[in-house]
Amino acid sequence: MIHCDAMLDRMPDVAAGRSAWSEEESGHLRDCAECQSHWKVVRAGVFLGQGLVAEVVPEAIAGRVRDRLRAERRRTLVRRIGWLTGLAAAASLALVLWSGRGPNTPTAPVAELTIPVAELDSLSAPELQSVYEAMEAPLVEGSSAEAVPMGELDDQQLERILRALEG
Amino acid sequence: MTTPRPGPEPPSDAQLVLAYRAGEERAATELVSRHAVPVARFLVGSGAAPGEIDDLVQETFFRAFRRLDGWRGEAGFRSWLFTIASNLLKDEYRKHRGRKVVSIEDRDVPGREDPESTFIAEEMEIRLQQGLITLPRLQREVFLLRVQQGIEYQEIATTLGTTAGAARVHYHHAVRRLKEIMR
Repeated sequence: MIHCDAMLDRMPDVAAGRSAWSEEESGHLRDCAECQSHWKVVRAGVFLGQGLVAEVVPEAIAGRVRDRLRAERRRTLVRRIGWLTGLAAAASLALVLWSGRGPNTPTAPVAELTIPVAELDSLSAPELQSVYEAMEAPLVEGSSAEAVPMGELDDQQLERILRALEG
Repeated sequence: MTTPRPGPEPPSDAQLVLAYRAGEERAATELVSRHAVPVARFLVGSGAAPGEIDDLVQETFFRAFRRLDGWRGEAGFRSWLFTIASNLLKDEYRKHRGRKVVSIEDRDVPGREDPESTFIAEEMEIRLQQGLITLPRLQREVFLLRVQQGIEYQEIATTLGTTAGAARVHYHHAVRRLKEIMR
């Protein structure tokens, strides 16, 4: 004799076509009102949402997911580079401050520090300006991360900068 | 006449996940193609409004790829996606303090030849969907995973953090309650 609970367990597989009722089960279903009402619920559940998702286009979704993942990866890279640059700057500053406090170094205030460079004294104002501009320019073309805004670099360039910063 | 040789087996989900981690973007496209429709159907059954399905499916995959380490392979990749989709819907529900319930007017009627049987099937589906929303979350999810997605009790148990026996009980309760609601 077939129990209704056993019928209920079998219903999802039969409704979805993964299995078929045996003769005995078919007979039970025909005569049992409770199983018939369960069968109606399960059959509705198997087909639930089939009509609605006809509009779902996996390829389009995949494209949008890929774009969002790329954009996020890029944001993460820029953030890491910014963080590492800041860390490097802080480390440099700490080094300068630390070396300035050595026992043999005079502790003169920064404002009073002068660096005599005799060659510069003889230069005119435009010549001094040109020297100043040369000092501001990067030593090697493309060697400075700040030369181009970070947002304009592509992923490979960002990766390269990151690798250089991380050593 | 020669019998055509079966082609190479398609890569498993686990292999595609590994390929994606190694930088192969096509693997992500393949995973989305495989699972987008089942995820969409699961969301429909969980009460998402038709107009939101596309965005919710997209968000589910975005979250999944962002934290692929969270999938340890105990349950299937698809089951794991259902967990993410379910949590996403819960977040949305909290955010908007309510969930849009699907109405007959919102529905696209699938092309069937007999308008009367179409109407009956449609109405049945809507009543089921409205009934599902009233079920406790665990009961609803067990019902959807077992009936709509055809997943076995053991995997449902792993996915939802329960036992196979408990999953079976939830399924039976869900069907009985839905039967009363849909009467």
